Amino acid sequence: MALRRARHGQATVILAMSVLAMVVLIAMMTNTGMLVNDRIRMQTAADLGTYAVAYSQAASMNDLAIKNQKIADVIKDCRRQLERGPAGGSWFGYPCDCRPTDPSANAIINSCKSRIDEAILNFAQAARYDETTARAVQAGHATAKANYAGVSATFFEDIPGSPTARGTFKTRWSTNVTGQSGTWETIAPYTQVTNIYLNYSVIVECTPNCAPLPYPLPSWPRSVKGWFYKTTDQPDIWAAGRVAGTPARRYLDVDFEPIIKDKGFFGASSTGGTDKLAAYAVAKPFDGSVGPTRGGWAQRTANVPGPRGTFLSHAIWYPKFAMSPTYRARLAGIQDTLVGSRNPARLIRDDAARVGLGGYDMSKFKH
Amino acid sequence: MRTPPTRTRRAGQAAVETLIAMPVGILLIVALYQIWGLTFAAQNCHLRAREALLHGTSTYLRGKRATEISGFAPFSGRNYLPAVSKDFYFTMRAEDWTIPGVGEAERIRSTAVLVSR
Repeated sequence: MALRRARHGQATVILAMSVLAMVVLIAMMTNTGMLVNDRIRMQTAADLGTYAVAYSQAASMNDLAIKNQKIADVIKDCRRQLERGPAGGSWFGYPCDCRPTDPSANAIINSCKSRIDEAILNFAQAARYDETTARAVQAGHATAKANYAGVSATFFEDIPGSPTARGTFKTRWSTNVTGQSGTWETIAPYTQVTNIYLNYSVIVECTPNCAPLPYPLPSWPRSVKGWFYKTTDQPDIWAAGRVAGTPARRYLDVDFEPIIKDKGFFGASSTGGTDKLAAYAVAKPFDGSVGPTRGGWAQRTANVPGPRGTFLSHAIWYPKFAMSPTYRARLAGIQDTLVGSRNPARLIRDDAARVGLGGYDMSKFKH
Repeated sequence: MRTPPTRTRRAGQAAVETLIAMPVGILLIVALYQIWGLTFAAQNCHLRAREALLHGTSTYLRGKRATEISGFAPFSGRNYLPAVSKDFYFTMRAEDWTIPGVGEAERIRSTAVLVSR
């Protein structure tokens, strides 16, 4: 009889245990669902934040391409004016001076230099770090916060050598007339072309009989400073980002540390723990061109002064794609062979180790 | 022979306990189902909003699941659009539905944002 009495309520005990097990299962499922949800949102914030940086970089470089085009257009316009001299396309030299120069044409050149300087200054100011990369990084932070409030983001703007860091790229520029010059921190390393030539055809009168030569001479070419080209043709403008944070709510621990350590267990206080989710992303501007690349001297200078006797056409010879404001942005991967003293793979690997995410699975970037 | 009184009292005990336990069990299973549906819809919503912002509404993640997507992305047709301004605000909103278990399905909304400041 004692044995039979012990079996009373057996199903209730099993029921109670089953209910407890199921409640735990539901908590685990909810926890996992929230965790995955947080991870997705974290990756979204990283992807979109980094994309925002690249998009802003692309917009800046399109602006620079337009301003570089402006420099070229001014020079082209100057050449056109010089090509239209009053004597059937030629200019008159100083009477009986035998010098191949004309004061009116020289005045045009001087005026042109001022106009070119204005365009150079516009380019240099628009390329400054504060106007380009700093704004891009600001866009990245704003976008990350807008998609997941409370997370911290970095776009490696504080890592020397990163393309988003201040001082990684510099551009030296100078003007023709005012003598202004500078070496500024810029979005990319640009080099200014300093040997763009302007000349014109001139009818020369020589003493002693002070008669015009039967043929016009080309004036001495004047060298002016003009547009910019990229020092390297490598894809060195890109952005990498990391978004990280501690999930605000969870039921079970997410980093498997001892429960007693951060108390993130089953409804207990889980805020302020050490659990951290992180997501990395890489994006880049592409499909545009601020100026000619380093390859090809003729492309960079866009003119050939040639031997004395060659008159320069007003046409500036450069490929149409050399200054193309068509930059777009896209997410990138490790396989994109983005370059720099610190490429994305290295930046991310070092960062993961620095913030305690050692062993971060880099294969995630191989898509 | 008459059955002992004790045995008479125990007859059907398991059935009664099962009857009591069954609603609780069913409730838990339904809860699991609902939470799964909720989680799936939320994650699906976040993913679709993000992918729509990055890749436009017409190309990515077009499955049989009914998801409403609206907004403006830097992507049109088959490729990304050239970046025209450093001041930008793109947003894409996705709406999805939880799986209706008990009662009506819930709408889940998620917005992905690309903003310059």
